[in-house]
Amino acid sequence: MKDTCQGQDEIVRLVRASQAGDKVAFDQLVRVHQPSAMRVALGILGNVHDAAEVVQEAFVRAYLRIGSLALPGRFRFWMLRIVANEAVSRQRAARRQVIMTKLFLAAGLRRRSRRPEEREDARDLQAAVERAMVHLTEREATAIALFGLEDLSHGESAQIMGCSVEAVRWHVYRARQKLRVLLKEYLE
Amino acid sequence: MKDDRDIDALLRQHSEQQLAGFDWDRQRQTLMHQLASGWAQGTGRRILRKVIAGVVLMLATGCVCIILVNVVDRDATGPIETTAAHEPVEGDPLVASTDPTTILLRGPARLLVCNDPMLAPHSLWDQ
Repeated sequence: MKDTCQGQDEIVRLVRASQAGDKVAFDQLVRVHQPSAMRVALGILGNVHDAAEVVQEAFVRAYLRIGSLALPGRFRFWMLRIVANEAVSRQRAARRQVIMTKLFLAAGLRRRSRRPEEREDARDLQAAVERAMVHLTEREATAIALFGLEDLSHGESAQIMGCSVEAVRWHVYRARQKLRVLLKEYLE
Repeated sequence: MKDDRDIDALLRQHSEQQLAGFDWDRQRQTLMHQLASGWAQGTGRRILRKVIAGVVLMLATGCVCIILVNVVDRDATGPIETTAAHEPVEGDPLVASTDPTTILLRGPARLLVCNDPMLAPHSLWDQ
């Protein structure tokens, strides 16, 4: 508990220094929050290349807007909200090709059902998750990334998403339902 | 509850696999380099590039318009040929006219050519 408080104090100090224009302090903030940001972006987008680009853009945006952050102690949630918004924007652009993606998905699922031995292939799981994420709504993808992957509480996820706790519960439930169907071959 | 979390576990497994070889330092360095030097200059360069592109586009559009007007005008005018307006009569001035042609912004017209220096130039236009 003491470590957590000290860690939080350090974050507040780094945020204040960053707000004063200290790039080294911002570098420290990036170092601390990079893994969370990547997990959330990856959870929403499903592939590491897009996630890396989104996180890069999100940190640039955060640096430019850090002066507007009134509560330095809330940096993590503020940062994750930027990441989630950026990832959702990217996902929205990807959805414009939804017809092509659906055709690709259908072909991919048929091919895999004929070759069950490919289940053990890690790259196959990656591709399957990436394709499955396309079938979630933006809210469902964000909710499962924050709650399921990043282990935030319903309340914290709700704050980041700007909705009620009940809405987060519903989105997580729907996301799990859809993913359970889409990824049933990978669930033991 | 176990069922609720099986999907989360699968997603975590996927996440760990994808991030296993990820170069965190490289991403951070690229970001900090972008913030330290490149971003502001990059933004300025992007704006300058857009301004130049706009000017070039305007110039190109202007050139294309001028070329088009010239081509249309030339096509409409064509080679000028004159024919006698009436049979020459001895002692009268000789008058010949061009085929009807289009003058830009003024419409169709014919040019009358005459060997009488006393005729005013504007009277030679037959609109």
